[in-house]
Amino acid sequence: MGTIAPRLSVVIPTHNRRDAVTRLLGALRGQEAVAGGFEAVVVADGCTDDTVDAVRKLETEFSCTVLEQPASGPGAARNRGAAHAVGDILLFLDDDVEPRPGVLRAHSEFHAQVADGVGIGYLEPAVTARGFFGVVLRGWWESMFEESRRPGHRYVYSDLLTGHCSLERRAFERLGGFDATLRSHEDYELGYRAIAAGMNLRLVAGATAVHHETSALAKTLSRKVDDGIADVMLLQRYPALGPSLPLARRAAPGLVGRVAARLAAITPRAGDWFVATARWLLPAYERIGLRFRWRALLDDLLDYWYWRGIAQASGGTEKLAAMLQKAPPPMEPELELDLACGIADAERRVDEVRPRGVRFVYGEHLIGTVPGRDGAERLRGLHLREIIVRHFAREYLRAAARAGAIPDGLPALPAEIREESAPPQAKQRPRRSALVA
Amino acid sequence: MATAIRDVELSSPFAPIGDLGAYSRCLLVFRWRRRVVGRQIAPVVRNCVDTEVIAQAANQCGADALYYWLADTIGYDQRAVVGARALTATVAICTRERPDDLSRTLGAVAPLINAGHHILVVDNAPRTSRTREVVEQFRGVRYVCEPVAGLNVARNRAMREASTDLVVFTDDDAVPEAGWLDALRANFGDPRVLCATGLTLPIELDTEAQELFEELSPFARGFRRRIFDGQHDNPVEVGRVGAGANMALRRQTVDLVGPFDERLDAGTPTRSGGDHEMFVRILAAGYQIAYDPAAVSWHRHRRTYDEVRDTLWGYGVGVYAMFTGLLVERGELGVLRLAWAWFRSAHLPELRRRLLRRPPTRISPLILAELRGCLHGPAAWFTSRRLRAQR
Repeated sequence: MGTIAPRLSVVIPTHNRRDAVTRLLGALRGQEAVAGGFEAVVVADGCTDDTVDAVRKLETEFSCTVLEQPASGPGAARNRGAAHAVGDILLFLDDDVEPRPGVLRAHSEFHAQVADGVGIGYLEPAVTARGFFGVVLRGWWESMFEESRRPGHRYVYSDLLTGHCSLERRAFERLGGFDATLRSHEDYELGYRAIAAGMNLRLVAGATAVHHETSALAKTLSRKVDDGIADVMLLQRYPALGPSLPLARRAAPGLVGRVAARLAAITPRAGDWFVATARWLLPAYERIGLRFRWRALLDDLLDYWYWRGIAQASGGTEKLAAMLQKAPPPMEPELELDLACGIADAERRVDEVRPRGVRFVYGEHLIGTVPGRDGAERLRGLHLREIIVRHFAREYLRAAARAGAIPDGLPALPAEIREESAPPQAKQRPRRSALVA
Repeated sequence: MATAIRDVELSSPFAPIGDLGAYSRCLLVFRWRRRVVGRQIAPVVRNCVDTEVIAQAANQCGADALYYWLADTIGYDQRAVVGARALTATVAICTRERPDDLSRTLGAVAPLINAGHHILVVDNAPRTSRTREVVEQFRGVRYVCEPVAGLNVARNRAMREASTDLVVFTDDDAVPEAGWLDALRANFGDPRVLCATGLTLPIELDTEAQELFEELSPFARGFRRRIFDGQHDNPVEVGRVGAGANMALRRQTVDLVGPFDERLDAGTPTRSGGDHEMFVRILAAGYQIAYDPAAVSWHRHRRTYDEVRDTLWGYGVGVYAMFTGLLVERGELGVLRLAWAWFRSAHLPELRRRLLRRPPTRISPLILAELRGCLHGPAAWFTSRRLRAQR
């Protein structure tokens, strides 16, 4: 490699996955050339298999370093790898992903174009599980990118997935790296700080890595406890995130969920025993094709373990409620946009001000407000069309009709648009409840 | 009397539609800047539909037209995705001994060759060389002969022959309009979308049989785009998804959910249902199907009463054959509820009418033909399965 530092460092934390990490390094060998070159830094986090030897024996045309440390979790492993890396850009890849050709170049070009960027790469799920669980697991992974794929998406902290993401090294150091105390959702936590620091989260076009997802149902259920604990820690640290966390809006559970919750209130062991028994209904439902009952039961089981984690970390529902009450009220909109002046004018004004929230009007008629939110990037002009059509379509049509702006040939407003129902305020999208950590 | 079909552009002042002497009704197809946003039937009075009637009909189009106007006004395309790659496409036409219809279809899609797309005609178990002769009149159109009879056999052949990202099917009696292919392609930005279907409207309603078919079994599925998601929607309820006459599939669909079931559809005892069975498997595997009314194609319905009755009988056979297959092989108990729901809403009222000795309506014989088809469907599926096993 000579004495010139490579432009990009690929940081790969791994734990006892020799075959996966060698597959990943093999895929890096097939990557197109990146301007400035790249290196790989593998951090063996408490590996007890022969991962370290296997990686050292690999012949690569790029620099490949293996660091060893006692088991400390993926956040700590990424921090260790980043501290050792010399590239200007850090590309974090989990050991179970396999980059498609062009990934390194896509991230490199992204950072050349976007200042203070956080590049999010697409993880194409290759799920090992079969049957209903395989279908749901793949769907869950795909849904993680559903919003960020939209050109007008307003990024939020939970869009950051560290399985495949990149930052400039200086920015990573400025942020202080990952919070190594979190066993789950350390990517969301970093996403929150990145957005608060004004960084630009973006989905990187052309950066695709296959994600070999081998999680089984049992592992998925056990991880939900960690998710619950991590969400409580996020809430304690950033009370403003409260309304966006799944724990803020407990969905009405099904019968199994209700019974399990009652039992857990008496003694957690009874609740645990009950859901462990109820779990065996899943294969029975699947055998007779009752996919919606199967899904409802799975949701109950996931919900139960998530709440067990919350109970463990929060110390009880009263303490949790107290934490949630610390959330500050939504911020008032900083800008009023008259859409009668055209969308281009509104976009220009938003790009000038970059407000947290806006109020839409059509002439003298109110359409609705987008309140400021913690954990979401400041508004850009690009967001407006998406927000208007998805959250304010009926309100826009009503206001335009009152202003006489709808052309004559079009129908009069039908009842489904005329009737005012929900208050005209952009709904806050709840963070997806994680199926896997 | 027949029904005329006329476009009405909502962004321009309405003008009376005249010269309708041969028609008693007019199907008004409403557009906003070329995009179809609604349809209404209007009476023809003194050979004409006047502007007042057009305005009243336009007012019935409802929310779809307004939502589309909003998206158009602010320049929003809900199909857009970050970094979407332009997908290549093969337009596949599976045909059998319909040279005149095929010629019209090829005339409509042949310009797509200039845009770099492929066109493939699969001649299914031909008895004559007439299909090949028609294809030879269109430069750049590829011809393959599939000797084994069956629409799904031909569809599978098209999937194997194509080398493009998408394989887009149109019937040999349909006429896609300009922009049809681009509209279907635009739906594949999300990798979960394996299939897209479009809006199919009648190209003519010149006979009573065609009017009855359109009344009983229209291909149109509304004027608002919709995503059918296998993660949330019931995969066996595919009646609203669309039809094989106007559908695009990713070529990799075959690898992900398997090929078309060759025991179903035209050319087999089951007569139809091959497209819907594929929709079921796509959704059951958790993928998505986009219905996009921006992809417009015009279909020529059968012209005679006997043909329409036979077609509807075939639909009954195909749907219940598909249900039988899903129940027997995939354990989809949901089809029982669906079969009952269809029977109760479509067929039971007609049976009740007959039991009460009420006079039949124009569509009564057609509904009963469909019901007879339904009753025959399970036997047809077992017969088709046996024949396929012997092949």
